[in-house]
Amino acid sequence: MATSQGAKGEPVLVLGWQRKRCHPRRLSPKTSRLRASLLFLSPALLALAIFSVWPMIRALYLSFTEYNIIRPPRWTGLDNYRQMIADSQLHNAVVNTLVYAAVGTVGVVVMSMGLAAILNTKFPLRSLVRTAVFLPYITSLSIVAIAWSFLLNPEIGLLSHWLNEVGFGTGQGVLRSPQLAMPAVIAVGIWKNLGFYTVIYLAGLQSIPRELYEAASVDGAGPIRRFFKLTVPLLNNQTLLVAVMATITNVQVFDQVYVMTQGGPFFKTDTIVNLIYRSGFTKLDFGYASAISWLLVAILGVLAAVQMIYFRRRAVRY
Amino acid sequence: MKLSTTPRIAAAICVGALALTSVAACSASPTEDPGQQTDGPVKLEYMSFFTGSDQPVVEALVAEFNASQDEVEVEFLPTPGDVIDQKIMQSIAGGDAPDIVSVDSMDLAKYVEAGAVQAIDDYYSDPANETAALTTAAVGGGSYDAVHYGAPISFFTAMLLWNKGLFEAAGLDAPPTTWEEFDQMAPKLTVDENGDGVPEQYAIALGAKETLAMYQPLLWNAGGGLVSLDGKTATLTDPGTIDAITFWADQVVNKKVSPAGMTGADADALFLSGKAAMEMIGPWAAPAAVDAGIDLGVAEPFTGPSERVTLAGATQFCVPTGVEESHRLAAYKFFAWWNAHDTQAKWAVGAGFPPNRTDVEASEISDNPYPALFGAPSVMSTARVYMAGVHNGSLVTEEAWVPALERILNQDGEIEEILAEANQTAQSLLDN
Repeated sequence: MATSQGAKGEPVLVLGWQRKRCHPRRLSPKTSRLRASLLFLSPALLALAIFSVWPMIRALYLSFTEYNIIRPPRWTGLDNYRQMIADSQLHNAVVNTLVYAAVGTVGVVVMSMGLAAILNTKFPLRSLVRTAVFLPYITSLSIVAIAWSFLLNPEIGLLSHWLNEVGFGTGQGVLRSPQLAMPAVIAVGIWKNLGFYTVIYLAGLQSIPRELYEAASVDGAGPIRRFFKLTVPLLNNQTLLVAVMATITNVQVFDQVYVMTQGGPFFKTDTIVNLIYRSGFTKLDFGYASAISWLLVAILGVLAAVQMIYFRRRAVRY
Repeated sequence: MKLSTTPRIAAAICVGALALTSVAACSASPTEDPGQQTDGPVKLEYMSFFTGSDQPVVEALVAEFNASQDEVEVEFLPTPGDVIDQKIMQSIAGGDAPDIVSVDSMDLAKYVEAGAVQAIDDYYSDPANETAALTTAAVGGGSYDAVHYGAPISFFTAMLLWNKGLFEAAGLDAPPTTWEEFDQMAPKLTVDENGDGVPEQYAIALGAKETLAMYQPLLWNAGGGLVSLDGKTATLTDPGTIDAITFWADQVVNKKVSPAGMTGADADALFLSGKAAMEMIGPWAAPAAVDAGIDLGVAEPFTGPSERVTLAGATQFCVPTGVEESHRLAAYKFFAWWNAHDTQAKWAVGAGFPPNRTDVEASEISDNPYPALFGAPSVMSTARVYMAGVHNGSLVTEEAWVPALERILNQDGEIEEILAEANQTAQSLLDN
């Protein structure tokens, strides 16, 4: 408590909280924004800390141990990382994953951009087609993988039967073929996520000012030239987003591989996450699985950084 | 940058909440154990991968056990086989393990070495449990390093199921009994109607992965195998193994008697859809084949050039680590009841599996034709449980054998070289 002077100069008792209200401390706009940001972000940050950051820290610790989930972890230093250097299964899984990510990401970028351009034009039943394109994205990946496994089954699969009928017999079957299994798994991955990325491109297409197309037309540019010289560069921001998201998704591919091929035939479709799963839950070697997980984090970090640097230089504003 | 008071408070709240959550998660909270009670029966949870056609039989027997006495009450928790290992391990690590779990004999060594299951030698040393009446192979499937960790749930042999209709259409009236006969009959049973090189009908459905070890008895019957009988040495380069795989790779790749590289589910589907004339499989497939309209025959698998060994498998009741003694002893009562004479007769009739006991007469289980066939004395005398008690047995199968078999069936190199590589992998797994 303190005393102050009233309007006529008489002493007035001022309580602490009143004094504070009368003389609010002014925050700089930057601090104010930071405070608001932190408050708004805190629930998400808390969830992130509990469900992502803490498990990552824990996994980092476990990567230096021998741990089978039942017995307490035993510190082994860099043994798991040394094992990674000599592990041919890991090398194979890294190569497969990078192939999957490269083909899958380029494929989904090209196809979703092209599909978005088509779906951005007017044609009959456009809404139905848009829904059909988006539908696989909201379907469980495991269900999708099971459905495709049946469709591609050479003995009882409908798709295999049709391919046979038109002279494209797959013999022992797509998913059992060392040459065709990986392309098939990649194709299913692209098909599954195509709708989501197409929606991102559609939003981008609808934000491009029409005047730019009109000006290009006046300058004599045809539809194909307009697409490659105008649409594609102006969608660079969306391409960055799609490329980063697709890369992250593809490098972590697991579900459809696990369901469709289990990493076979003879590890031809084995991926990093599949190997992590096998190391942890089949071999009960959670220490090694954690070490591979951190390798995955490093790969993702490098790929995301490269993409960000590449596309940042090509960011567009209009 | 120095934060003002409010952001610091917000950050402190976040950190505090995180710390509290972590502490709460890590602390040994006095959660109520549903099976812990002072009055009434001891309640046991039983997690099992019996989720197929045998699930109703298990459920009915569990209900009958619960009704038969008032000391122990078992709750059956059916769990898909592809995730049960994961669930069991996680629940043990979390201190919330079920009291009883089903474990395949092939996986028992993994559970024991991980410290996930308890020894139950005291169950076997109690004469009241009548374990002397159990079949040797079923009991052996629950042992590791001469210590009992499992009591039998089921025991099966893999027999040759054959489609009488397809045999008749091919002008044959009985299945092959030797490899030579198979070699002679297979061309008649393999039908490529349109000549495109992909048969519409196959002589046999041989699954290569995610299945019963269908190729394994073929190796045994030529004197080979994946590992030695003591489970210490990889034998993929033994002459018997090489001879067997050379013969069968030729049958599959060149003579197309079976699609190459099928999963067990693919093989089952092929046989059940009438597109394969034979399959070597366990008793669970017989009722499904009859339901699918197949005129089914069940015969002993054909012999090889060396001997006849019949593939067998067993599943075990195990008690996870951390289950308290009172619950373990209560579980013994359930194990003993399950393996009692009358229960085994009901199990055999209901599920079609051979009984776990040797003293159940064929006349007692005649209501179902299959238990007597799959458990015939001539079959049982040649039965060998796959990878029972072998260190890393399931890994030898998945990491060495299956990839090698797939490579051979895809002609991805010379058979001897592929098997030599696989042998190295298998041996390192056995030694590890």
